Amino acid sequence: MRKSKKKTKHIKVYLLFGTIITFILILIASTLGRQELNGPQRLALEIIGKGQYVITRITTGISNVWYGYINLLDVRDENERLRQELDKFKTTNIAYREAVATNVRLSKLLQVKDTLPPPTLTAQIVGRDPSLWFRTIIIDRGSSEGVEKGMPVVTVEGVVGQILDASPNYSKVLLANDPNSAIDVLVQKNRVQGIIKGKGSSGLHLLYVLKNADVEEGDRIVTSGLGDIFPKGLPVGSVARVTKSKRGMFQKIEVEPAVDFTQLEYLIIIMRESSLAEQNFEKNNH
Amino acid sequence: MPVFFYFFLAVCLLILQTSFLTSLPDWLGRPDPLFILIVFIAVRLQPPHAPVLLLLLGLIMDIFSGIFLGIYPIAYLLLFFILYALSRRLIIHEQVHQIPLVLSCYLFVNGLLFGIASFLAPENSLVWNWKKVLLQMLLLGIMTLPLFAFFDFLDSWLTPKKAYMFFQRKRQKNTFRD
Repeated sequence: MRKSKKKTKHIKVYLLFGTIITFILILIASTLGRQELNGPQRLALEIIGKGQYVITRITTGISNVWYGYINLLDVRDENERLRQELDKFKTTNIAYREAVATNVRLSKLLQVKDTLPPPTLTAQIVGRDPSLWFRTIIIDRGSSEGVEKGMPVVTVEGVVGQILDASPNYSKVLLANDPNSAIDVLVQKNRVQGIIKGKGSSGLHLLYVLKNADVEEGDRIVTSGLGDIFPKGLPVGSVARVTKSKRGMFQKIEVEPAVDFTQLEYLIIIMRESSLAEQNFEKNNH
Repeated sequence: MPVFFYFFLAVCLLILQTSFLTSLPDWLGRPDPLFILIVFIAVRLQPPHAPVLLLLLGLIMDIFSGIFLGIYPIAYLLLFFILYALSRRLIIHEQVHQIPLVLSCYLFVNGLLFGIASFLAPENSLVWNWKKVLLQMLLLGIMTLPLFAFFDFLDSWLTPKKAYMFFQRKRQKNTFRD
């Protein structure tokens, strides 16, 4: 009885070792042998792969539909947000363009300021005359900054007008095209003198030029510097038409202004030597 | 209270007119809602409120327009006294007459401004521009009825007694009985 038990135990140990050795041998054989699937393996792969493929497609489809639906819910909000962002960027873009345009204008004004006798003051137009018969504007500089009646106002293109009145922070400017404006000028090529008066509309008249004076279309008109209001040589306009009537001593000359009075925005006030700004300027320098 | 309100409204319209409306292109003209308010004040308000208010508005207009001080107060006061005299003899409160009333007032005031400016500086070649005047009159003609209705509404809001009259339908006379 005891012998038979011992035998059974030995057989189990042998079987265990035999199985382990067999597996090791199979492993060694499969590792060292050719690296390809055999026929049944390929068949199994084919069948199981097909199943995997179908399941994966179905899963992917479902997940796509699900995520698509979820995304759709967010698309409206995102679209709205993007539109708002686009509007914001458009506004910013317009603001940048405006800033660039302003920068260009101010750069030109600075260039002109360098050529003018100091001190000068840059001003912006805040209001225009609403009437049909007068041409005046309101600017954002006043007596507190040294602006006084009679000071010339110019722009990059040329003469704009002169200060008519000033409050502490604002001033009224009489434009050169107002019928009540008069500026001493001369024809640049031959120094013939005359007086420029406004026509009320956009044009100007050159008055008191004798008939024998040689004035032609296209001649440039500049300030003469007489009267100590405008510095000499500032462009006023160019001759547009000359009419010599039989009667009278003077020619009738129409002048196209150098400045487009409808497009004015930034202006330069040329300060007087005795002005407050000049005094401050001197104080600061001392 | 209404006088202060009209004064404030006129100042707001003046600011609008001298800043935003003047930047419109020339071919569009320069809408003049302030002038319609001035005619409205001259027609609807009684002395001494109306002339005092018009005098003040004229003095303010002098600051922002023209170079001769005093011509706007003269023009507005004259306009008021003429309208005041006419209102006793003519029915100028009716809606039908508002457009011709405003247009004739505009012609009168501008003619007066032009005349005074030409008289004060005869050496200046001030030229009457019919094209611009007619364009302005056209704009005023378009704006008169809605603005008068708006000012009437404001007036009724400011004075409750008038509000009652404003919303109450006027009884017409039975002309067949006469």
